[in-house]
Amino acid sequence: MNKISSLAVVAMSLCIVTAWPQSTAGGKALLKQVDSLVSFTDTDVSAEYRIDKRDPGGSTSTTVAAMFRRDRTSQFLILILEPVADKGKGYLKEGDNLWLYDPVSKSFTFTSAKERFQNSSFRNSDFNRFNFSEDYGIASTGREQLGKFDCTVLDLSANNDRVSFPRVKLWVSGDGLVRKMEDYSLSGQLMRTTAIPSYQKLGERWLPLTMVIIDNLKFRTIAGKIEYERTTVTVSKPSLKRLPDSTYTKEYLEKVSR
Amino acid sequence: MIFFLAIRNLLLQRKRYAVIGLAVAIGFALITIISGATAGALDTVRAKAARYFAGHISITGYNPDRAQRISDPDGLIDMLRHSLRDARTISRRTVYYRQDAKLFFGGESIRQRRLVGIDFDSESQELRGMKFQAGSLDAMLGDGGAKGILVSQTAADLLRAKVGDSLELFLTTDTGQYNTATLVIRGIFQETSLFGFAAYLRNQDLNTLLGRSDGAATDIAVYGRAGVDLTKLAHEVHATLSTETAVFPVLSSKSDRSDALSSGIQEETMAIMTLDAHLAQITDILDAFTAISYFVLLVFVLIVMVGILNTYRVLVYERTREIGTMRALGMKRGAVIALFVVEAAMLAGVSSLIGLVGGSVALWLLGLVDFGAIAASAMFTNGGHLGFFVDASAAALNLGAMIIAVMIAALGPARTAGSIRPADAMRTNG
Repeated sequence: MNKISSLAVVAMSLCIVTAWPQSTAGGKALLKQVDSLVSFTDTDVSAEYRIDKRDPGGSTSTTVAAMFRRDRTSQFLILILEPVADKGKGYLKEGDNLWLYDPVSKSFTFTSAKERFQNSSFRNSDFNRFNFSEDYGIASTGREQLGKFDCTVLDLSANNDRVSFPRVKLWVSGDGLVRKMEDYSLSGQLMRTTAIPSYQKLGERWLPLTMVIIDNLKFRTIAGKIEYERTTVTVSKPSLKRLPDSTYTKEYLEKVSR
Repeated sequence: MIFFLAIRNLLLQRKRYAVIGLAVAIGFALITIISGATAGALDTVRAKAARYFAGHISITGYNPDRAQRISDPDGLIDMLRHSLRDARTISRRTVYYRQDAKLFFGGESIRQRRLVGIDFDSESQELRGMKFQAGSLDAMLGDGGAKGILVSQTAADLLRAKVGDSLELFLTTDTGQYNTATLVIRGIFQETSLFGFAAYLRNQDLNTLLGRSDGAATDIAVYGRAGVDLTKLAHEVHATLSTETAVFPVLSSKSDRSDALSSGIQEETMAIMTLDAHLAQITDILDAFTAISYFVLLVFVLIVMVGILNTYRVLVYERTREIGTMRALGMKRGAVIALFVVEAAMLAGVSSLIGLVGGSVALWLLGLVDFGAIAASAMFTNGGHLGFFVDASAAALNLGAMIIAVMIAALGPARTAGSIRPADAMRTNG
């Protein structure tokens, strides 16, 4: 009996030891797949983003912005179309630099990709493609049912200090698309939860169709129920049309902001 | 003899002198109130600014990468403690200058202009002047202050938070990662908007949140003893630090600091600034206010001088026979002039002293009034109350100026009185 027990323990240990690297390796491959499915490295991508922010308690605000992106050179240009008060404002990203253009003062100011976009839970960096496989390592993996999606859960830890969130948890469905994302602070506080229930296919790649972002720090208890600040992002009018290089320049942003 | 005669004349002519004496007293009371209130306001602003800007003299470490950091704060503090005799308190601080810090509570959030990490145990003496609407400074002392935070009343009102509530503090680490902490409100202090969008916590707690070592610091706060010349002390700080580390020349304004930094630095360099340098714009406003108050005093003194001149002209005319009698009894011309001038000086002196006492009492009474309802008063008052501050040297200067002005005004009629001949005096009907 003792021999059988010892053999069982050794066998289980071997299973765990051999399964761990496999799951980590599998996770890494999955992360690369996650990144590649939403990266448009061989063409430009453009779309219109409608961002509806609802504060806990009910007040709402809407921003509509046109997005032009070129992933292979890490460039994007965002032009705000609504509200009227902010119409013509724009963001231009060139590599690691992000500029905010104000059409009233006709000036560019340096800003951060980590800033909130129009004071919503959507951040400037969220217009970018995912880059999880380069910025994060896998701390643990698991499986979880998320509504109709059977998901692999990847608990990620940042492997550099350039990223905003030191810890991220991803729910990835069988097709390799992120369906839910939780962003944590360095101290482990859940800061933001993002749900991406639907995507739209563009060629061989995918672009979210809707995203719902909950700001876990901004909440209020109303009638005994906790209400969070909720930002809904709807992406429409997607296009893979190639754009001229001049699109990603300050001159172009100044011109279209008039 | 002249003093005795002057007192006698003052008493005999008290009804005539009463009006002019009252005018001098009221004028002096007004200038006491104006200059006292201005000095009190400046004193209050300086005390608040000292808490906000790291002491009477702040030392900030700048690095070539523009990060604010002092690599050996303890070593520098030891040096300063040994060499500065006029320093009352020297303490390290960690100041979070990036303006993205936010406090979250109950669904509300408020951005903080700066977070100040303080060694409360060593700086508590200097922070006693903080006015608390709830809670106290003592709650931040010792280990009990761990994971605690002092927030302004503005922040607490907006967050609808009270002492004992746990709020979330959000900031970014030195490398730009998001970090949060749950902190308990230990005190809600009353502060103006200028210094109000700041929160105070233990510097080791802030260091941990920023990913720094417990003993790290960005600033060293130096508090001078009462009455010490801060510019002189700042130069002593400069002389002491320059033996150990690179130091900019003592900076006289924020633009000086910007200029110094824009020229680029090759190594960690200390920037020394006095409170006056931090408060250049505010002190400019108060200096302008003081200048206006002294202009008002000047106009008032001129009016008093004209009043004295006219009063004494009439007095000399009315007292011609008396002057003639004194001259006939052997009083010299100079003595007659001196008699009138001393009379005027005594009138001005006594009236001004009455004005000083009255003005001081009025200032004290004003200090009891709560100006909290007037938003604009918040910066210059402590908890809504005016600071009671009568500067003895300024009062003596004002007193001297008033007496001299009145003596000059009385000199003309006095000379006329001195030139009266006894024979002419006896012929008059006065």
